[in-house]
Amino acid sequence: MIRAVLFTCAAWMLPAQTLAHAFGSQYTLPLPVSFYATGGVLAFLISVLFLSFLGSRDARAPSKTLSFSPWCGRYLSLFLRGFFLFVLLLGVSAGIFGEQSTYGNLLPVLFWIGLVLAIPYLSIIIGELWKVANPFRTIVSLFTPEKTDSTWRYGYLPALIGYILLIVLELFLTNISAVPLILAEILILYTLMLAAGSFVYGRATWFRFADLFSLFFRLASMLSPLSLSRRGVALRSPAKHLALRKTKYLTLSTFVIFGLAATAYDGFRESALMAEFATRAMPFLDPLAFHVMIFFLFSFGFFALFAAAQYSMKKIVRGTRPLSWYLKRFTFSLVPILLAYHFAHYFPLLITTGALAVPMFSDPFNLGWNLLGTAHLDTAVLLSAEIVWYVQLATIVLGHIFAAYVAHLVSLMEFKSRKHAILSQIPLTLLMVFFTAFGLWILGQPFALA
Amino acid sequence: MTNKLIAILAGVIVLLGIGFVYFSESSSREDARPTTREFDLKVANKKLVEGPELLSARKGDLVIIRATADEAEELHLHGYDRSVDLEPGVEAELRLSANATGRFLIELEHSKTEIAALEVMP
Repeated sequence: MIRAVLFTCAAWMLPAQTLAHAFGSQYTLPLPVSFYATGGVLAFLISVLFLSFLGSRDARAPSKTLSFSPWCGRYLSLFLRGFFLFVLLLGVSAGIFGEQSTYGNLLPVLFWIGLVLAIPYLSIIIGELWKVANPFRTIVSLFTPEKTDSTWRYGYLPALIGYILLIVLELFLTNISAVPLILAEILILYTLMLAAGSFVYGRATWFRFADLFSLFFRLASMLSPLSLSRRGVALRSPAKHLALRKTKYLTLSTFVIFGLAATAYDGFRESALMAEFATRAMPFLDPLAFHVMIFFLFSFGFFALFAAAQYSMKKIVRGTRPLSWYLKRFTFSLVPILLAYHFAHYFPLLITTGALAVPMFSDPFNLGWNLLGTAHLDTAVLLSAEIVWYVQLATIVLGHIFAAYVAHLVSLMEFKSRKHAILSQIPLTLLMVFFTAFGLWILGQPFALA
Repeated sequence: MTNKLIAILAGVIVLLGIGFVYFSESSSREDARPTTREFDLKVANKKLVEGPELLSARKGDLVIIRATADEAEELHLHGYDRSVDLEPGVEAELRLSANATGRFLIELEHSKTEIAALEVMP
């Protein structure tokens, strides 16, 4: 116990590094000019196509459901909850008792690759997976009430704060972000925070508004054509469902925009251009302070651009609603771009570093075990640079198409005149083209050496 | 114009775009034949003092990295996971066939210092 405390204190006192990533190695090359130029042009052309011709004011969102039998749904739910709980407990235990090395311990892989990357991408495919299997909720449900606090008035502020702290841990506290014991302590503290909040505000309210993972994975699941629950699997139009969703919380808009900005910043910070800026700023600003400044610039800048686009929309339609309504109503149309940015940037890491988990599951405590027969498996995976480029291009362009379509549907639903609906989308469409082109441009930037 | 037609048209535009990218990239690589790329690196005080920070090669090239250092170290090429021991004043050589494309950091393993990167283009 004393050793753990001393170890933690020593780790926290190490100076932060600004350029290293939290965990994992990406072997990707910058996107060639032809890729990102083509991507930008495609985004623009398809946006014009949608604006000019696409349209349906149908506000229905039909879905087909494949129902489970009651016992099947119950046991599937129990199995998923049990499996995820087992993995969480195994990971935390490995973090505490296993080898204290970044690439030798199971927990950093489970946390940064499994939780932060694999779960949202699985949620895009099979939807609502985390809602069914959330291990934190499974633990907290043992001793907190499933009630809803109808007086809750903080919106998604706790989840937003959690998300900011996660990004700070990932990008600025890299000296501790992959230390197994530190990660185990963070997960334990996070669970205690969820329990405490659930006890005060009720589990339903607290997990909805304060669990950043529940929120982020719920946003990812909105892109899925499948909706998983204990009752069965429903097939639906994700675009329609996104267009019909509304929120009364500006903090949700902030959460989505922050996610976009943080991913864009993470890509840009590794570029030679950023390194050159940091070098030029050195006489005036410490490199860490400079990186923090750029990080906030990205965050506030992205939000300011979104606000400006929505303000323009309001002026075009001569709307009487407050600006915040336009921000909130179109928030969900940005979710496809957020997940496209995220996937394009991180999927190589998921594959090359995620493979490390395979041998580790056979020997989670580094005791020389070989439980699953995979302990000595060579899991070195190198993705072809070309495959990565095409996946990145396709992901970002498809994300843009999806987002443009959702925004178009929302406009048609909300603005009575078709002329208003089309004109209103011009600012947001231009913003989306900018986000798409900017995301591709960042992927095309030459890297700086750490 | 019906929504289905728009969706088909959007799909055709995307495929044309990706096709354009594919053929433009392929044509730019037509004349690239495997060759031998040689690089000389000199390390002092755990820093690269001579030689390129960025080593460029194409897929299929034979890459030869010759390195000298002022102290005992291990030169590690990530991704390919190839290493060579460095002794003070003694030139060491790392040879590899650049079969995998990507960007691979070159690190002094003992001091965990990244000194260069090998970029293998398709």
